[in-house]
Amino acid sequence: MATIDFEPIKLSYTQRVLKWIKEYNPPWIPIIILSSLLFFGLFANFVTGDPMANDLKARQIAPFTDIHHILGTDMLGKDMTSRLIFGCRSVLLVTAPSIIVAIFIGTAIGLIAGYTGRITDTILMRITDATLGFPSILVAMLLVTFVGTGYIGVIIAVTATTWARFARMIRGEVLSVRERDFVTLAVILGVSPFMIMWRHLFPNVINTLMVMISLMIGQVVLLEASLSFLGLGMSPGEPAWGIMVAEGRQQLLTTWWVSLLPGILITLVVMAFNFFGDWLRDYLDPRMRRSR
Amino acid sequence: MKVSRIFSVKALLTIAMLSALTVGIVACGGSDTSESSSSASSSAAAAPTAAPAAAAATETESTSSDERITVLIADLEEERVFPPLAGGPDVKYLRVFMDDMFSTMGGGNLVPGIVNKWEVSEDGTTWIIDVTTDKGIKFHNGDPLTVNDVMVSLQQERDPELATAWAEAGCMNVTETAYIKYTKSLDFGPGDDQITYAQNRVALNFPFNFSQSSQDEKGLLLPGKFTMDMWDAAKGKENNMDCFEEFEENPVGSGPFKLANYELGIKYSFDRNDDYWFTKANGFTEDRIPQVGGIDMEVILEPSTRLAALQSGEADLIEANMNIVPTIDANDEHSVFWQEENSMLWMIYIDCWEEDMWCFQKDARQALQYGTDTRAIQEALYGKGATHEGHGWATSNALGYSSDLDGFPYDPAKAAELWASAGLDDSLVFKVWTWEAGSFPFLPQVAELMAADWKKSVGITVDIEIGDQAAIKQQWNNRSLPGDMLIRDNEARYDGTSITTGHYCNHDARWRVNEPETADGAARCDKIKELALNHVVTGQEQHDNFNAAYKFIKDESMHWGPFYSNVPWGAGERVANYEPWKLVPYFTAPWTISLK
Amino acid sequence: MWQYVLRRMGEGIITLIALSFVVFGSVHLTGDPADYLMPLTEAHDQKIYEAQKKQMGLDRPFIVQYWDYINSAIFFDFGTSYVIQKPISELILKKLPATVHLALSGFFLAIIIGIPLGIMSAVKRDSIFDKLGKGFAVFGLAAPQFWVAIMLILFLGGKLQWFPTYGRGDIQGWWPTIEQIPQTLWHLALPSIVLALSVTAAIMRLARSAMLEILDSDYVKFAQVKGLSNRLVIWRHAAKNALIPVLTFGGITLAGLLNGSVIFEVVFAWPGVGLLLLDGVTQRDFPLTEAAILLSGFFYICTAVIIDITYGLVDPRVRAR
Repeated sequence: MATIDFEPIKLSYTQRVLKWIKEYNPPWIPIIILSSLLFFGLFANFVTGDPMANDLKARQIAPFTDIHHILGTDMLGKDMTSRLIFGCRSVLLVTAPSIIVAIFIGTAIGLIAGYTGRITDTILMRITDATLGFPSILVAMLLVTFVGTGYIGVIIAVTATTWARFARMIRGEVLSVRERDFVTLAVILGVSPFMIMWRHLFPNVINTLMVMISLMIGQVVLLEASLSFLGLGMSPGEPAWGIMVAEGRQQLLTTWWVSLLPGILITLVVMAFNFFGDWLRDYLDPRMRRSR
Repeated sequence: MKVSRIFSVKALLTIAMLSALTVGIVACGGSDTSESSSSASSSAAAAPTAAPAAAAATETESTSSDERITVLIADLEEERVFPPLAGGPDVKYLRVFMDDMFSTMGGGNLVPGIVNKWEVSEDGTTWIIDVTTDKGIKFHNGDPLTVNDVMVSLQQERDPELATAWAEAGCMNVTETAYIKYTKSLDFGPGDDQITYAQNRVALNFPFNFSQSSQDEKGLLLPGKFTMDMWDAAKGKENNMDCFEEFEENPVGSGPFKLANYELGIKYSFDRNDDYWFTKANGFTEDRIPQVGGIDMEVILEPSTRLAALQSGEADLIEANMNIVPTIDANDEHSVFWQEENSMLWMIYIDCWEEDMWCFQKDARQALQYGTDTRAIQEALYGKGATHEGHGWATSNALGYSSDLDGFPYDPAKAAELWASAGLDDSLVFKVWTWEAGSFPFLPQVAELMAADWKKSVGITVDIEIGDQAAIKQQWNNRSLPGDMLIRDNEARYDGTSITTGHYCNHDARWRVNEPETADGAARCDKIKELALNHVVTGQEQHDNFNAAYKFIKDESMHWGPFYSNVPWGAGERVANYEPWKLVPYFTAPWTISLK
Repeated sequence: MWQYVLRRMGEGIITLIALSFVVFGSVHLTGDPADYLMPLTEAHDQKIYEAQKKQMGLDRPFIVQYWDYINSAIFFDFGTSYVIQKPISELILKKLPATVHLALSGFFLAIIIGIPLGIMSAVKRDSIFDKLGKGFAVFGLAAPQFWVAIMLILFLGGKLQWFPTYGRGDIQGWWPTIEQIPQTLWHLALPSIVLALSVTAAIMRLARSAMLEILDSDYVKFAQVKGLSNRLVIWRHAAKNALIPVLTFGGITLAGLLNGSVIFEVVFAWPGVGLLLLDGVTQRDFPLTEAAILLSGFFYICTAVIIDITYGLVDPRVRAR
């Protein structure tokens, strides 16, 4: 009997990457936008000047008219470019803690609710429901009463309103995963519930989680803007896009750049997160199916 | 899976037709409402457009018109329409259809009106006032003005019996009875049409507090019989929230307009009162018959929306602010009318009564004033929106003002010197509280710029906390605001007696800038009383006394306020003129609005 | 079956009660309404302050206040507003039509734009049409609402005068008179457009994914094999089933719209419940704030219960838990 000798085709690393790109077609523009966001957010300090520097002699300069202030200045003479770049940092500063905490709480609750008995599930889900029905404006108001405007208040307000969505989503996922064979096997083998949640359920839930994160970050940015509009968000003067849009909105017909530029950035970033999240969902989904 | 066509031609056509239909309805509907947004279908009946003495020269040259105008204002705190149940900001609409008992010519100039004579006793506690019953003054429901109307209006605010009865019956909040403790007696007499009101304290500012120039609704004239009829009917009843509901449904005033109908907090429609009594022909100082047929006043919270309404012509007069003024100015057909001396900037040191507190030393308190370039701040942020004159409530046209009360000059060297002589250095971490105020824009920005100045002049680091107005006020009132300075605003007013007393001389006062119980605080209070508050004088003497007291206060620097705000009103193409009063907050002098 | 329904409803009620407790507690934390009403000048009087607290019932222990409150709230009697001093149910009923009109018309607009877009997107998957549609929808979702609203008001309303810049028009209450209908629609247009912008993306996405799943399903393929025309296949079998998730999501969105209407009402001067909530919160008007929040919570929880019940009816596995 003849044996056929095959040499497995070995692709170089670059070739493999290119193949992957061709197959999965990642969304380039959103990726560029998001990487820039990350870059500027982390390195804002090194890239640009002080976003809080007032200069009463250089107030309300229009963009592209002054070489020192390429994108213009605002009412107190603060440089728009610096403020927009530091806005990236604010996005990270606000979204990172709130999303992390929200995920932590939401996933824990979602996992527990989905996996354990009916009573725990009911109680936890009802709490989640109640939280979802609780308007963020009141939470924000309460926080401003105690903590004043600023980052802390926004982070807490955002966390308080987002964890519930994660919880609900995760629970749904868990409900469908728990019926799978490998989970049943683990139960039969006597693995503790905690280990089942951690080792078996959680990894399968991560995909949904990742998609949710990318979609929720956009929502968080918008929530910050809305709260700032109502005076319950960031402090006036902070280099955060939301409060910048809110502060400049009455002068859209005169010093339009103060409100328009950050607004455009918010829109672009949220769109980027959305498209990326969509792609991520598509990317993770069929792969999950294929790997079974 | 490939699909060539999803919609058949039929479906597409149906959708197109439906859309066209919708657009058609909407477009046709549009033209109906493009004129005015008033709910009154036709303007007032063809009544004579001016008082009989139209021959007498009026200030403006434009003639009176029957047309209605739309006025947009910022938020009210919309309590109730019946004045005892309303709040201060409600005078935005209340004063349009109701009179105050004492009339003014704006600012502090009292002139004869509903009350035509007022005399104070030698010790300053007792006032005898004369009510104008011989000029045929009528309420909008036809009832003639009697001395009883003024009596009832005073009683609901100052009579221990009536006010308490109302509060106990649940007809009004207990807090409205806060001032009854000052009343000694409130009676008719000695003559017909006279009322004698005696307080247990010196109260020279009584007429001012009940006048058109005050910052609240206390002085509004109620229809006496109507009110007491409502009260009699309500006395026995269980559910007493609605004691005065009849008034709410048919509001009756005596003012230049009548309140035709309203939606609380949303829209108020006024019709001109052609028989308004305040005219030269009647012997009063000027003609106050409105020059427009009616006013539709609507509440719009968002300034950009008010601006858009002005631009589209949906509004004729809007309450504007410094942010939108440039846009209004840019439009040739629109104009800005300034309401000057509306609110004062008020910087208050929070804790200064103990020796180890940094601001116990006067030098320290003054240092910060020298160390702030307030003029630059005012010019940069406000321009015409603020005037750099005065000290706190001693504004340009207030009782007791002189130019020596204007802010300290910017002198960083002197600031550093004073700071050092007070034994302080740049290690002090300084906490400032402020909020965003509708009436006084840019408070947080003021705080920021001042902080930058202080860093330069005395080197301190400032931590600015921007919070919610009600929460901060509450903490301040409860003596639990943890910080060093509060930057806020307050309505400007002509007569500063009550705010001076409240701030410096009242043991019950909850403001702790100046503890009267301490030796320091008591001395300060005594000095102020000696200079101004204890003297029963009027006219120039009173002015000079107050001036002396204010100079002392400025020197003490427990609070300071280097400038006050001027509120811009944006006017559309139809409006020829509007002359809001100086030094009186909210919405004033609606009879000066004239159309082209 | 009925067991499930009843159980779910019972849970809903318990959730509401828990929510009411949390709301009551947290609102009471926001400040002191008696203090807020006290005049700020020299006449602060501790006696008056105490008497005012008594008049408001705030001197009683917290639990007593809560118990009293919940007892009347069950019958939709939310007490009297501290500031306006009128019964709150009356106030809310007056303002409710405005909010509901806005929410419904925004939602309706989003549906008639979003569903067709989603379906066509799914059918012409990955085409330029799909991309443009998605792009537009996501744009609407990504732009801050108040910003878009103000810009539209300034340009379409102020400059071009295509739409009124504020308000509802002359309509009072739920139903406009015949003459008022065009005006009412015209006033509804701009706010509905802004509202729809934010929701269309989600609806489109839902419709698209639901449609995709169904298009890939066996029975559709079978129908095609049978030789039914494409159009018939799409409409009869696919689109109808695609609507289910959209409508259930729609319920939640609607409840959420009612919740988030504050910004709209501020910008458009729309006299609805959202403004009532804002007033209540800023003026420390406890009963008003509590009522507004409870109502929106009530709507939300009701919707969640109804959705769960619907799912339970459809999917027996859900019932069995």
